[in-house]
Amino acid sequence: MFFKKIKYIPILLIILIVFFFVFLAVNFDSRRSIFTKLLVVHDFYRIKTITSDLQNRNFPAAAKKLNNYIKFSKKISNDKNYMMTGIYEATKLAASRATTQEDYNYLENIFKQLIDIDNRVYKPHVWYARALSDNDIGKSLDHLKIAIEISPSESDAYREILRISQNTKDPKLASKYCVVYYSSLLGGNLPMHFDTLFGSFNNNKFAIKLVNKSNKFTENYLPASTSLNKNQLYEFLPTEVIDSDGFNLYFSPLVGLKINLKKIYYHSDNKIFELNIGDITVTSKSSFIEDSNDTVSVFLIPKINETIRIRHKNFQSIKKIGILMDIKKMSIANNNLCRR
Amino acid sequence: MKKNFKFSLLGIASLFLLLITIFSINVLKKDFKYAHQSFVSYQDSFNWFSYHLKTKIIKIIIDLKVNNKIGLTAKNLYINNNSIKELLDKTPSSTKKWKQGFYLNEDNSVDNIEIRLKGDNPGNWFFEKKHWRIKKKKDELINRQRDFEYTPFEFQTYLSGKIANSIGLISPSLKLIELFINEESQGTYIESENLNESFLRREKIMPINLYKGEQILAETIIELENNLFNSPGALKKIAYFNQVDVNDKSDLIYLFKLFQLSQNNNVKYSELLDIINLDYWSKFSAYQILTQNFHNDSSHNFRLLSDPWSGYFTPIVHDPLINIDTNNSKIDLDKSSNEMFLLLNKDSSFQNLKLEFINSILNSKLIENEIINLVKIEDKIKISEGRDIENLSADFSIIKLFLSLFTGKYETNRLIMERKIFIKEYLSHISNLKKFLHLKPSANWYKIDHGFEIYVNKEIPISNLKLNFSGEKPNWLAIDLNENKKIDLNEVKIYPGSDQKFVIPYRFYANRIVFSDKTIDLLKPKLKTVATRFRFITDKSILPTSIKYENPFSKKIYELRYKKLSAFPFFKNNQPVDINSKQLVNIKTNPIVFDKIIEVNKTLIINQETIIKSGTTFNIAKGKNIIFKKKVIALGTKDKPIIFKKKSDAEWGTIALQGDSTNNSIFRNVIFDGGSGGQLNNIKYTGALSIHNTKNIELTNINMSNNKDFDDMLHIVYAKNIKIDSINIEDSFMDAIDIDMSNNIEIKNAKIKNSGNDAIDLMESDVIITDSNLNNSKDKAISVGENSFLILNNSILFKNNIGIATKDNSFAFILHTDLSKNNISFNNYLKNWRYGDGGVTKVYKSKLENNKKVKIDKKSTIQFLNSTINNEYIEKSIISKKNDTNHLSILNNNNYDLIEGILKNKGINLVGESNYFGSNL
Repeated sequence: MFFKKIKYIPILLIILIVFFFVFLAVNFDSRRSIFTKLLVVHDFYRIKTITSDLQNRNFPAAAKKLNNYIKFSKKISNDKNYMMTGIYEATKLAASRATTQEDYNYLENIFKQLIDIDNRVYKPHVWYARALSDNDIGKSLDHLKIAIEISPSESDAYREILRISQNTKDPKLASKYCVVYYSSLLGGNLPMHFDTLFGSFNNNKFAIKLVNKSNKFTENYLPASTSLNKNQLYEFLPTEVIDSDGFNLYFSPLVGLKINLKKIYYHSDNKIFELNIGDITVTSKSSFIEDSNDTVSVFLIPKINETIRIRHKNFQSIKKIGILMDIKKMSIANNNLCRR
Repeated sequence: MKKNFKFSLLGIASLFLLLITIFSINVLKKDFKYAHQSFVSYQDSFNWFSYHLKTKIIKIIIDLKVNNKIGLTAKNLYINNNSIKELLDKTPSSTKKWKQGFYLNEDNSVDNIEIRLKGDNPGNWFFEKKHWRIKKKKDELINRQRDFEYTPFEFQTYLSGKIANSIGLISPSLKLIELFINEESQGTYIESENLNESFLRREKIMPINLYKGEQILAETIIELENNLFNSPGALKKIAYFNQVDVNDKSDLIYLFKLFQLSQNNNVKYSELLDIINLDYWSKFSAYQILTQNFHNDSSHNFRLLSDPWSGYFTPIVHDPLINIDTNNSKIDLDKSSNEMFLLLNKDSSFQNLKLEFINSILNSKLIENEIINLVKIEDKIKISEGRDIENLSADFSIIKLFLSLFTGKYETNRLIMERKIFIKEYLSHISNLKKFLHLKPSANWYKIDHGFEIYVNKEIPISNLKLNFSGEKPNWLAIDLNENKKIDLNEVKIYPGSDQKFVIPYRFYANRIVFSDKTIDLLKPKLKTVATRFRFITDKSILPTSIKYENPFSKKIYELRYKKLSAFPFFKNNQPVDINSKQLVNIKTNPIVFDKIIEVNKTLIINQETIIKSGTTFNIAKGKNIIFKKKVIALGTKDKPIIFKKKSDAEWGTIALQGDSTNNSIFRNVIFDGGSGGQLNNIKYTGALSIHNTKNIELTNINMSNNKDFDDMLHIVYAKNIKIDSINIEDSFMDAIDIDMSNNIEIKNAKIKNSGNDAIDLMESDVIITDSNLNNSKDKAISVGENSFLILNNSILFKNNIGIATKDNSFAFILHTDLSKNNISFNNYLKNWRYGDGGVTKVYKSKLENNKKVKIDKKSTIQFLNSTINNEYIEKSIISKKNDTNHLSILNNNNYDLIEGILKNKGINLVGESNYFGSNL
């Protein structure tokens, strides 16, 4: 009896499989949901398998898995397809663990393949340049120049150039790129999974929000653009006449920035109130703060949404605010190498 | 029997299962490709099962009764079905691979083409109506166009694109067609141009850098700043300025840096305004408000021209649409699609230009006319939509299906109804916009110690203030721009008119403040108008009793309410706008005067009107330039010419007239000795004397010599109405005179000899040359190239390598001219494939030395009329390798009477004697 019935099991299985396919073909919402989840699981699996190799600092094995990942992706489509994000994240993880030249060399081919897939991504050029730097400095510098053209303000490429110039004892090279680094304004980094306060991490945007007496945040955020490396009076008109006890400054810096806060001016119809650093208190979410004679310096940590809180006595009927400050990039090498 | 039946049933069931499995697997594969395979692709879930079922049924019904009615203009493309499969095989890369196809011309001839799918959105490829792109062969262009794009017709897109075309924005021209692929109608499509160098040339724009930015969907660059105004790495070139490296983005970086710096610095902001043509950008913004098309934002649909000749950065309308939010009737005149517009919208002169454009477009009924044009072809659209599978299947119903079995046709009015509703909503938006502009502006005034204040609130400005005084009247009044209670140098006193009434001819706008009310909005901040005050000082503190003002758009007059308002002082870029000059009040300046000896040790950029006195000599240091940005009157005399010369042995750079503020400049009796060329910020100068983007210029009695390093002695680009009389150029390094993209250029009494390349080189220009001697040019005496038009009258071309070369869709009419001892007299040919044709020359009553010195290619034609060749009289002769009817009609249309009329209109004398051949110089 049992054996008589068991012969129907394959038929049942086939019918079930067919039913499953038909179900997925017809029920488009479920299909989309299942596909999406499967792909997420696939990417997670790939990254997880590489993680275990990286924990053991087994870069050859990690490189092999990354290579398989890329090969698999090419079976679907030769250029940039949906797997690119996963491959990039997995490579980024591997590159972040690489310390020695040997580590980078194991990953060299992966970096090259990433550039072949999309040569407009910043990081692979820096990683590839790092890997090449032991035997082809010229080519390495070429890739670093490309990286700088892609995102001129990001520091990784400059840091790599400084490392090369330090090793090759080439102060001219270091100085040349130090000048470019400190004066570069453009470029930014858009995190893969969330926006920052200003879309990306960048050095040219910040915002102010006035805080009034009752500490209710009624005033709007007033965005502004930074002018790097100079004393700049930033002027703001509030959207309504306001009493102020202080303000918050918001930044999402791309690299380490130093803000030298010097003076604050409040304008009412009949009077201008001038505040020195002795008249204010300053705190922050994660930055570090240092006083000097006439300046409060705030050291912003890169790639963090930052709030700087400045408070003082109350001023009434304010129609304009001026903040005198100097925003500059922090050094990425000492002056002996990085002569400007 | 029973067993057979059982087996048959089993077989049928298995076959059914197999078929349904294959179908289901195909659906799964397609959906995976559609929604998951492309990089950063987000698609809503889609019911392919139902879609395929409906489209298959509709196809069968369409095939049952063929509808041969003539709809929109048909475009027939042919592509092998296997090629279509290959295009969809490994998306997204496979969609970009060109396949062989065919194109049916209007005369029923067939051309080979390359064809592929268009765009990065999988939605463009996987449905019945696909987005196509074709590329014709270089020698089979249609109206100088090689690349064509075909996208499914959307009324909003088409209307928006047509509005952009009509108001003069740079945008691809659109054509409504019915697309047939392999003889099967695909329904209604929009045929449009591809943005590339050919597009630029057709738009009369030099071959320059055209940048594309798409930090979205498949084109997203991982972890890169997506605000394109801060991200040069995210932009790529789709057309190139060929004098710099393909990867060079220095122009873009210059713009972006300047943009950043100008946010806190007025000098930099003025520099920014110099390079963006405020007129054009305000017109672009007006278009955005009118069409509610804001999806050319900071991260996508970003197309920007960088023109090193005009010096302007110019946005192009790409992927137009009309996006009316019917749930929100609030009019926002300050909506800014990207950061540049956000900055400009704070500027009162930009606001003024923008609102003027909106008002004039609304008054012109341009939009209504575009809608009427579309309604006129509604019947044709309906016929073509009747063959549109997607249109029909989107309105699928069983009842219609049942009826179609009897009638043999399946019809829907879905799109027609949608269009009607849309037109109604859009016209309502247009009407609301007009009402909004014509609202009574919100404004007050109030007396203060030394004068009075006016307050402006909301978006609509106030204009033409009329002050009434009851007793004694002040002698003057002034706007206290810096509120320091006294008249400063830049503050203009306003005096009463001849009727003793005070009218203040300015417009006053409320401040626009950039703000975000939530942190999430810091990504895309908005603008808010706030009550803004303007203070006036009056003579002897005499105050008016009442003030009237005007809405500048409705022209209605109101009286200002007397009431104090808590208002903000006007912010830096929100100064009152002069109604007459449309400039801010405080930028009026006196002319600068140059006299005697001027030492130029650094580049001079002159932003004031300039007078150069006779006898003035400029000693210019190596590589330094003098750039005039305002009108110049340089009146030398024969005895005391004005001289621009080298300070040392080394060549100076350029003397340039840059921009339309130099209109009406005059240079008489001027010597230019030893220039070269140069670059200033984003502007390239290839001439010792450079005339860029200006009009109505007079150059008389000019001597030029000894230039080096750069292409031209005199370079004229984007110019109009230039009169050059008596110019002598000797030993130019390359071309003596180079004229690009310019109209109505007259050259008279020119003597040009020993040019290193051409004596006169034309590109996309129309030029009359008369009474001139062009001798000993190393290349051509005159190169009539790239869609140019030349009349050459009464001139001598002697001992040049080539006398006249007419090329690339150009036409030259030569009359009463001697061509002697040139290696080649005439050479007509196709050089640049983008123009699709060779040159046509008509030679009338002229003298040639030897007929063997005439060369043409198979795309060109030369006609001789009443001329002598080697002393032999030729009454009429046409030299052509194939009788091109188009060339014959060009020759017939440009007859002697027409040319004589053109010349006489310009006061140019023709050689009187009717039997005289050649020049009488």
